[in-house]
Amino acid sequence: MTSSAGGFPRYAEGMGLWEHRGKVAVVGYGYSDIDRRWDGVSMDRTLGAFQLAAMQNAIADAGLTAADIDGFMCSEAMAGDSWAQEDRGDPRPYFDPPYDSEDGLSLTSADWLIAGMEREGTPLSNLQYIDRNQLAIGQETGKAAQAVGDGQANVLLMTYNMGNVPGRYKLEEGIYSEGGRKWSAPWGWMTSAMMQHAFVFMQYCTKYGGSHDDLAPFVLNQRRNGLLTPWGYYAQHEPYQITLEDYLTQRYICWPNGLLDSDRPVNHAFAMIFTTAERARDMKQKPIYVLSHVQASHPTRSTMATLEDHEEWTDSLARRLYEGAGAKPEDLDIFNPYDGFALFTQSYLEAFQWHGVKRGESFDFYAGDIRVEGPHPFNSSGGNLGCGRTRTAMYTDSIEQLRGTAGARQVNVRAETAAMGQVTPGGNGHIFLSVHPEI
Amino acid sequence: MEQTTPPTSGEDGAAGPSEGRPVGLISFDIDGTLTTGHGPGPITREMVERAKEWGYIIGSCSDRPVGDQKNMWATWGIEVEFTVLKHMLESVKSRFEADSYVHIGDTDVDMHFARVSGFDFLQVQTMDPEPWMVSPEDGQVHWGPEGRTR
Repeated sequence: MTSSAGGFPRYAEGMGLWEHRGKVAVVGYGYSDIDRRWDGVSMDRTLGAFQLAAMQNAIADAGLTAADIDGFMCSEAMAGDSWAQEDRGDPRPYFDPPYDSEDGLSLTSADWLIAGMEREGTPLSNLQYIDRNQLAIGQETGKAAQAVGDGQANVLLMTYNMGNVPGRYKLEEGIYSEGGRKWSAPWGWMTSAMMQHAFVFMQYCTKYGGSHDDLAPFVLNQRRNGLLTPWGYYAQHEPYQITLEDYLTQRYICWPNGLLDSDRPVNHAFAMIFTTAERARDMKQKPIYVLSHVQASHPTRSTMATLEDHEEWTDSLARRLYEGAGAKPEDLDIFNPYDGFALFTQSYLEAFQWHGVKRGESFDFYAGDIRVEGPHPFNSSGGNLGCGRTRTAMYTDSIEQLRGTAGARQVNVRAETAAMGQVTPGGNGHIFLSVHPEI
Repeated sequence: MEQTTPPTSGEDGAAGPSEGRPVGLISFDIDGTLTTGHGPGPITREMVERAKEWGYIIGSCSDRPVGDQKNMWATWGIEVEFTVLKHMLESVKSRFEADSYVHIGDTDVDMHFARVSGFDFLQVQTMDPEPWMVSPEDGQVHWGPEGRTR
């Protein structure tokens, strides 16, 4: 792991309070519609079209105009599969501009989005800072907060998407896995991730006791919270609650990781607006202050990380995020850790010691009352398992909980601080938000 | 709407109403196969209803929870004989005696579970239309609005 004494990324131990703690605020957010996949036909429902809508919605939510935005940040990483998919023998033609390449269909570049905003009549005409990165949103939110804190932008629009086009998702190996991947991903991209997390999960069960069945209350509650999220995939398209029997009889993908333990790819986009605390004071929305952000990037010692690795890495993550915010576990009200696979979420829960949960105690915690109405409203967003593989529900929920606008998901416990992030224990970013500029 | 020229009725006894004919069993995947799927597949309610009228034993085999499968059939107003999870297809064969067992789906996973369960597999995007898919109105095969392009 490389270290940095300040700026981005924030990897190092012992950095103390974040230098911009409470001086940066989230003042707007927006999201698009959500589909299982782009249908290949509806040009108003492409990944690019969705992302432009999310950006416009964020600007409107903040009470701003596009001309007020002077900083822009987006991840240009491909969110799903390529549209053309020539490597699979399934070539498909592109369309008239602006859809004459992958840009706007399976990824979105900064140039495409900026041009799109102009086409839409909402030009980002005053950009002074543009950040094109390949980050996932966990890292990207930290970078956005840092950019505003460092003075690179005054009002920064950050956006992120997760896409899905027709065809099998993320068949990056092609039809056959080759080279070293034939060992680590013999049945395609996701099997590598699933094998990794299944392995660590089994180590967890061996060390602390319990089994895959003990995840059922958590997964069922994630779906429940997702169904309370009006824009989420399941609320929109498959509005039914899964049952314990559904969970216990689910099809295993990579034992013990099952279908219902795995997030479901969707086509969706999200945007947030960061500004200075000073500017935020007189804006439309109540400021949500950024108290800290940290990142993690850990190479594994072999093809597989171990439970010990995951615990060490997430302990460090939580320690650094709390330290940067000047907070302790008991100061954290809303906690939305990542759940791309249900098998690893407890790593975060226990590292952050949210509601006093220590190593090995997650299964007992899940078996208690974790509903949003209850005393331990864990992952009130529903996460990816409840809303689809957006990777952003944990952000929209955290903002809404702190604003008091979460509707049916609004928790009954104190909601003045929130922490959230993604993706996995080996590589992620987390951010700490608060309605107050300090704890 | 995509149309397909219908097949010539075969002599396997399945190309018409069931009077005195052998019994076939058809298992339908949902997503990507039936028009109610996410995404919508090409097989319409009318086709499924016709297969049932012709005497086929029909039901669904999907990764959707069983409760959701049942809700889908209730929405369509079609009573089916079975609703099972995809990896439970083999249980259908043990429950129903039939002269033929076919699973219709759109993915490699469908093909896998059909084969390990002793079912013939028909890939919905490429299969030759079955006789029960043919409209008696005009003798054509009327796939769902999305066609078979997925």
